[in-house]
Amino acid sequence: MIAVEDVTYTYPGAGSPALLGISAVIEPGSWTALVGANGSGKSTLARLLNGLLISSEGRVVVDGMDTTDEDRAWDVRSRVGLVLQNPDNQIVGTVVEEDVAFGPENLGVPRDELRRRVDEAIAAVRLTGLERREPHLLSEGQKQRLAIAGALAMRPAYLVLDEPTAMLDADGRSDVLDVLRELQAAGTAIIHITHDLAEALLAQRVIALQRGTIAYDGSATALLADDALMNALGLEAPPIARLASALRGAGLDVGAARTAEDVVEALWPS
Amino acid sequence: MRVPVAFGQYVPVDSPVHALDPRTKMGLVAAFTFSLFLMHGLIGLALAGVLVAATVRISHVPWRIALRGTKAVMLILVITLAAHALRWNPATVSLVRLGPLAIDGPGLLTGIFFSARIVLLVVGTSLLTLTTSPVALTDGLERLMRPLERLHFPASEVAMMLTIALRFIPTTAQEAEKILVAQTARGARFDEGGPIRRAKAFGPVLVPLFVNLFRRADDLATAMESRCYRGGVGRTRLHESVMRTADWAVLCLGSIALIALGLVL
Repeated sequence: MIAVEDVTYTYPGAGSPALLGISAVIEPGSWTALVGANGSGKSTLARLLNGLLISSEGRVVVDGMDTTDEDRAWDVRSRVGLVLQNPDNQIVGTVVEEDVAFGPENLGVPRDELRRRVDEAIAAVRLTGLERREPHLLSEGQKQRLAIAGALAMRPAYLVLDEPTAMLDADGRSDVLDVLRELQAAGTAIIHITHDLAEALLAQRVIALQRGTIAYDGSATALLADDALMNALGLEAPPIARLASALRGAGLDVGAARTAEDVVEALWPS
Repeated sequence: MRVPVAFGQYVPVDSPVHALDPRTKMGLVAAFTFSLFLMHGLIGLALAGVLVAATVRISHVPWRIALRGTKAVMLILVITLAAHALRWNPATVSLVRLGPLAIDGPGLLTGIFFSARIVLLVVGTSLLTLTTSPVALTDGLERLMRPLERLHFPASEVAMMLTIALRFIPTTAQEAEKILVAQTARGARFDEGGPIRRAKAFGPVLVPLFVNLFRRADDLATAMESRCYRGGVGRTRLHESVMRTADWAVLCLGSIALIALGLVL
């Protein structure tokens, strides 16, 4: 469990705090979407979760480890993996398997264990067969999955992804989301920062940030149903949610529809 | 305009030479260089030439590529040869005479000796980079520098810097190409005017390239810290080049043979 307890963070030299009095608990194995406009503090929160940033006030506790405890800093970072938006900027290795090995190498994992972890992580993101490929020869979607594998090789319990699909095409995006779904099914908690509410619909829980505070914390469907709040947060409902809302307006309740199939199923139960 | 993404000289084929540990090859190149400078006869150089030719054959590196390095030193070769062989109005008998200009027999031999040595040096040492991938070279360099860590020399940090540089060369080249195309689409011309104007035209390419590089570096630092990078202390490696018995044998016998050759011939 990651416990964020009344956290305020002000960047050095900044006048106003980027995050103000944030509290939330992330359960192991859960899927949380973190949404909000640019500058709402999403990325700051991501970096607080793995101890890259230390809160100015309040504290973040990861499975009982306070992120301010410098002795546990590396334990915290291997427990909470962080994947950034631009895959190119986070790949360190000159070939796929060496990049995946980078994290566990830093942890001092012995060679045979290292090999096992690398192969597992590569298989988990479906890059098996490309172990010796140079990163610049991969597609953007493959690169982002490589970045995810790099975090996975440290065997994290939580995976924080800062807009992992923002730079990807449709195929790359759905591949990455498929991998995330499989990871969650296998027990890894996903904290998915996104602009795209269609992607946020994959989460059981959505936390919306607005100017450094939590403006909403609840289910994705309840958020989508609240037009006033959506407007206030500057969020745009995905087409499928707009369809569901239009149908509701016409007197047809399709419930918590996430996909076109859900709508069809609600209208014409098989 | 294309910025080539392939770089370096590495010829990625399988051969016994490629399979040697980078340290073995570095050691042999050092011994070979030493040996070349010990030699003082054309017979020795001829033998060294045979050795180099045999190595090129075994390494499956195409001759054209193996000899490519000599192009860069062609001018030096010509000057060396001319400086040793040509005489102006010599008093002694010469091999060939053209007015006051003459080619001196013994001088010509000395010129050939020195030129041949340069050619062998270039071809022989380039075999190291031709048969060793940049990654393996960096790795070998790190292992060689490791004893210096006791003197507080940051060997693994230097190796990490080299690795990251190698990793980002193709990415940066791809990015430069993208910016080049983007600026061309905005009407920038990179192919007209004199050299100064052309160099100036690259300003709008270099500025965004550098801005992006700094942004990249920032992200990279975040990513590396998130993946627990804390310098070389306590790091393990997925691939660590191992000096096998064959490596030690080739290194020891090869070096001794080369130095002996240099001393005798």
